[in-house]
Amino acid sequence: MRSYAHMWFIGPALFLMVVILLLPIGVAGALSFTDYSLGNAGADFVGLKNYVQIFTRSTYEKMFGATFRYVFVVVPLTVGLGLGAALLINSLGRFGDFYKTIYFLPVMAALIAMAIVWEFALHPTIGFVNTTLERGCGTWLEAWGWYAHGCAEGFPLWLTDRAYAIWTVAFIGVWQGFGFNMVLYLAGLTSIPRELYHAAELDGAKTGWQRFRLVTWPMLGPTTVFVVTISLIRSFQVFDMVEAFYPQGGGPSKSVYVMMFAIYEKGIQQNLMGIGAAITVVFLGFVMVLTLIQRRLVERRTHYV
Amino acid sequence: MTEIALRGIAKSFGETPVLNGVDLTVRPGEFLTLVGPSGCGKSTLLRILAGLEAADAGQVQIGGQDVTTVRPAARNLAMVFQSYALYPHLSVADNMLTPLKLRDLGRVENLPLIGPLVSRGKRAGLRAEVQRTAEILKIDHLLGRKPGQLSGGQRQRVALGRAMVRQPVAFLMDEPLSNLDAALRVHMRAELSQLHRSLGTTFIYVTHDQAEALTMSDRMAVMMGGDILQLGAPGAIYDDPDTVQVAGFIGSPKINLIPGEVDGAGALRILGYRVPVDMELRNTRGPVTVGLRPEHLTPAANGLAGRVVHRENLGSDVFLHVGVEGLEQPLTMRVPPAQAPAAGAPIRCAAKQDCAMIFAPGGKRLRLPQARTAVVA
Repeated sequence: MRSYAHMWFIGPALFLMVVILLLPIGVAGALSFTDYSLGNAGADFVGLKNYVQIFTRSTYEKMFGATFRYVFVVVPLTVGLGLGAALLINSLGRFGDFYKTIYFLPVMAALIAMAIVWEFALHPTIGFVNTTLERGCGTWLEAWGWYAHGCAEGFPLWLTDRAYAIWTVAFIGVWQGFGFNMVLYLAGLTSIPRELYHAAELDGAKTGWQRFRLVTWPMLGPTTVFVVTISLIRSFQVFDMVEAFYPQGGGPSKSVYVMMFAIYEKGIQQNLMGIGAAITVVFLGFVMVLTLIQRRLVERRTHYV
Repeated sequence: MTEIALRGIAKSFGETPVLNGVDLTVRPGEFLTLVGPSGCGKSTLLRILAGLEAADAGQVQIGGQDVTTVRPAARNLAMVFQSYALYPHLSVADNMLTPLKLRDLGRVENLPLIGPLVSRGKRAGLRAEVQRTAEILKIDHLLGRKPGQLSGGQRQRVALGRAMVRQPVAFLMDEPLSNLDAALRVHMRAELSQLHRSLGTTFIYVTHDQAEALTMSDRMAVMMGGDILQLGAPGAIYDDPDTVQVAGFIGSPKINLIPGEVDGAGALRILGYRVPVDMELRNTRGPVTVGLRPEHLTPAANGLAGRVVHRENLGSDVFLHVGVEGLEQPLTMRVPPAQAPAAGAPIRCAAKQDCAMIFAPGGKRLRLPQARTAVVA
């Protein structure tokens, strides 16, 4: 007699996955071919019109520009700084926990609240960033062309200047995100057997760099795969900060119009579900492709013990 | 050939003293074993010698030079760890190549991409050396594999190979066989001794297994509680232990340690039974501990009367555990299988002539046979 016990074991998980994950994705995929709006009785099939819009209109070109700028600044920096901070803290004996807490605070803080603080800090006239910069005027710092220009013409409007806005937002994203990676790397570091370092030392690895290359970095491979994947997905999903800084329209001339915000604006604010769903599908595609690429690249060189 | 010496090494972890001023001189080319129960400080002593741990006091000398403050990488010692500590992401060949690369290649030559180009000849030489070592250890067919794909015994060999390629002053081994199964362990004992003979390099070997120490070493140092209790050839320590602790630790099955006494006439007695010892215990009176190894007991017409409580048949020998009324521990005695009675049978155990070792209440050995004079050691 065949036993169906296995269905009872995987059934609940399978059911939930279909209902809360696969089904909504399918619905979003279906909606992306229509002009559905919430409240309408029905919707018309519009074919690929929504997708054509996404890949032709300049608004969406800006959306891709902002998203990729953000992702390609934030991912390398949060991973790099996370690893650096983890290595430094790991080498500390006494104040490790202190620094751990400091670097992890931004991760725990509500980003909406932090955004308000940053808005004050970066205020063009009363913000402490620009007032501090102005103090440096007249000193040797003016030898730097950008600085001299700032002293003469006023320092940038960090959040509202088209040339700076996305980078400022990315900077805050790095500030907010690297503590999380640091904690992951710290966990990875504690799992490296001490004996490997002793073996490396006896094998003649005298410098810290040699030990890092021989032991630390390869042994952190699995952690790095995870950290990079998580950072990538998290920075693709950036939304709350943009919403807090620019509730209307995604920043100066849409230079901070990231994908998540576009989905929100189109799908929720303007009730254009069809186009919102189409952006969602494209977003999903990007995240999947990037995750696959990086898995391929990294996993080939990664050793799982 | 280099002499290695430890002078007055002391170490404590926090409040707990681990080593209390240990002195040890390792002769060039010998196989020296540090043996003792866990927690006796033997591993710590080895790690201090390697430089992985700093001593609180004392000096480490290699070839007459004080290397106490020299870092491990510069001491030219090689170590085989209990967990082998192979680099899991590198192939066997690369694992063995690592110490050579770190020693022989310069900063530029170790760079990725450019390094292999500028140092092609050198690298070929190093690879040939790895190949040669791998052939000696019969692991040349494994060079392309990762440590994760190897069995315990193969990993053990790779760890040895990584230690050997560099031709170090001495090999330090920290319980290298304890992760292997019993049969392989016995086999590797023979191989390690053979390797030691063919290399002629100093081996310093740490183990808690007295059988390993007895079978492999030229000399062994029995450690307990942070001190070396006795240092000497395995046979000498087995036959002639200085203290009751050493006697109890070395030898398997364990030596029988029986409370006895020296009576007014200077005769050694256990529960009234006179132990045949051809010596006069003039200056000793009162309770002593009598050590009798299982092979020193024999069934006889007169002796300690008891009953066989357990019978261990090893094929070549049978070990009888004999319960004797008045003694807390059963006596262990080795008999040829033909003479072994069944479990439960009554038996009388007698000691062979002059085999008993006598220990004073403090644990020190009372030694006298040749001089025929009782000396409280």
